[in-house]
Amino acid sequence: MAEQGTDKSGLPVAVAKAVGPERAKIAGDAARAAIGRLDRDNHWTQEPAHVFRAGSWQATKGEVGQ
Amino acid sequence: MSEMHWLEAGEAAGLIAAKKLSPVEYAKTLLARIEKYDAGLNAFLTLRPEQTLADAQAAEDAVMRGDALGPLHGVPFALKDIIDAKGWPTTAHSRLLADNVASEDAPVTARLRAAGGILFGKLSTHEFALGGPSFDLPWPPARNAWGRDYSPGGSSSGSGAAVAGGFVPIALGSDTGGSVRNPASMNGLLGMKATYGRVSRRGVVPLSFSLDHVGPLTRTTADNALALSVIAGHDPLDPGSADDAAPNFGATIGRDIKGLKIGVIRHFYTKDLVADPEVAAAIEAAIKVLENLGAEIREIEARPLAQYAACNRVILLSEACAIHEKWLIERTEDYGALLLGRLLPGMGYSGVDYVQATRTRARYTAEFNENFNQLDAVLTVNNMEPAFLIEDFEAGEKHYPRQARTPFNVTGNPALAVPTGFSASGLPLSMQIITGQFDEAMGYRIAAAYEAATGWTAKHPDLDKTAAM
Repeated sequence: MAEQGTDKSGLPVAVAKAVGPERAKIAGDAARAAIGRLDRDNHWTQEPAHVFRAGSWQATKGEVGQ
Repeated sequence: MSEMHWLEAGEAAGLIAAKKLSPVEYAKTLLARIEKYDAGLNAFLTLRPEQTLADAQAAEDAVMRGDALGPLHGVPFALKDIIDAKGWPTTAHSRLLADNVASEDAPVTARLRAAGGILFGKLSTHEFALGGPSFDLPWPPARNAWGRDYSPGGSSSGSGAAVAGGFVPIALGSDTGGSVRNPASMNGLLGMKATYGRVSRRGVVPLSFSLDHVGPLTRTTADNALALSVIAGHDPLDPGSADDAAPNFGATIGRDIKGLKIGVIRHFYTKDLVADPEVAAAIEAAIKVLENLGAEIREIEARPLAQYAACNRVILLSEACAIHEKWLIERTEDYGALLLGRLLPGMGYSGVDYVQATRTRARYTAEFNENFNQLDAVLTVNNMEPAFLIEDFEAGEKHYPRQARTPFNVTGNPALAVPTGFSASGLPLSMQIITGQFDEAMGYRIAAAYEAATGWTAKHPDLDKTAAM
């Protein structure tokens, strides 16, 4: 089992050890930048998009391409 | 008859069925072309000419016996090397899977074969459909058929180069953040990312379960609709597969587009990102063409590109890192530098970040699809620039985020890359036609009308000039 927890880069300890501190720092900085750009303005009741929900999808029009 | 290597798939199938084209001669001609030019383009990772010719001979025998023939009988196709074909390697263009051999056909491969298609080979990709173009992998990156000094885009890079180069008329790619539509854009091709769930993802190396789509790249709209009609359909063993029968997606090709209501998202390429003037001019000219064909054009607003991009990134890298976590720890040095650098930030996201992104995705999807209560389709650009020089690392890093494709991986809507002409330096330009969920046919109808009015897809590269080393 991989070592638990995160190191100072914000990456899991086992991953940070494997890739080295320099790559871990760059990745951690990039992760924080991406998270900072994420729109989190979701109503508290907002459901997620379920990964495998497609089976319940329906075509939005009776006849497509018409 | 066109030169054999520029035959459309549908045209070739018709000629074969009418006994006017020998599948064996056709296969030999294309294999000879690959032999002559692919050293300059690196489109293929694996070729098995003897097996291909044996399959072509079997196809010819079936014609001569008068067997019932599928819609692609005797027609060559090739697969991005993340898609399984029984007994063939599936390497994902990576050291990590260098010895991986597929035990079964992916459903998309099986469907192409059942329609009579002849597998020519496995195609170059960015490593695991994310890291490229890379020069530190066991195989070189594919190059652009319109100029080998340029990138063919990616991640379905070999798929773009092989179809544009006249090696095969149909190639499959995959699209998680735009990886069918980017090489389609850079190589002057049609590339379809259909509705999420329309095409089975089983037997395809995953990058991001909820964003991955498999789709065809072709030289014409009719061929693209034909290829999608063959590969689409419910797969009960793919938990993401939509339980919806696939229609003949080309059924409305040839119908006029008078009165169709088409929205244009201009702020993607004029404000959120500013496109190269030639890219912007090409889509504005395309809008005029569609207007002249009778479509009603209206400008619409969507969320800024950066919001879609952030949502896509957090979901994509979270899912990708779940797949790669063990290898990242145990086989770090087997990764190419680009893939490693692109994957690692995903290890820094939290579970809450991921769920927030999926909630945001649900909200954006519902919001975007409201457009189709009033509109038949939406247009916007594809890449913000034409192809970049493949060995210019900085240009590549700048190029990949400058695009308008990820919104439709987030929303799952069909998005079709359509050629809009060429830059002054002769490189292809492209736009996207986006339609309502499960309404791929509308995109093809509009694309075909535009194609007939402009003729861009009739132009092909001269490999003696563009692929010469």
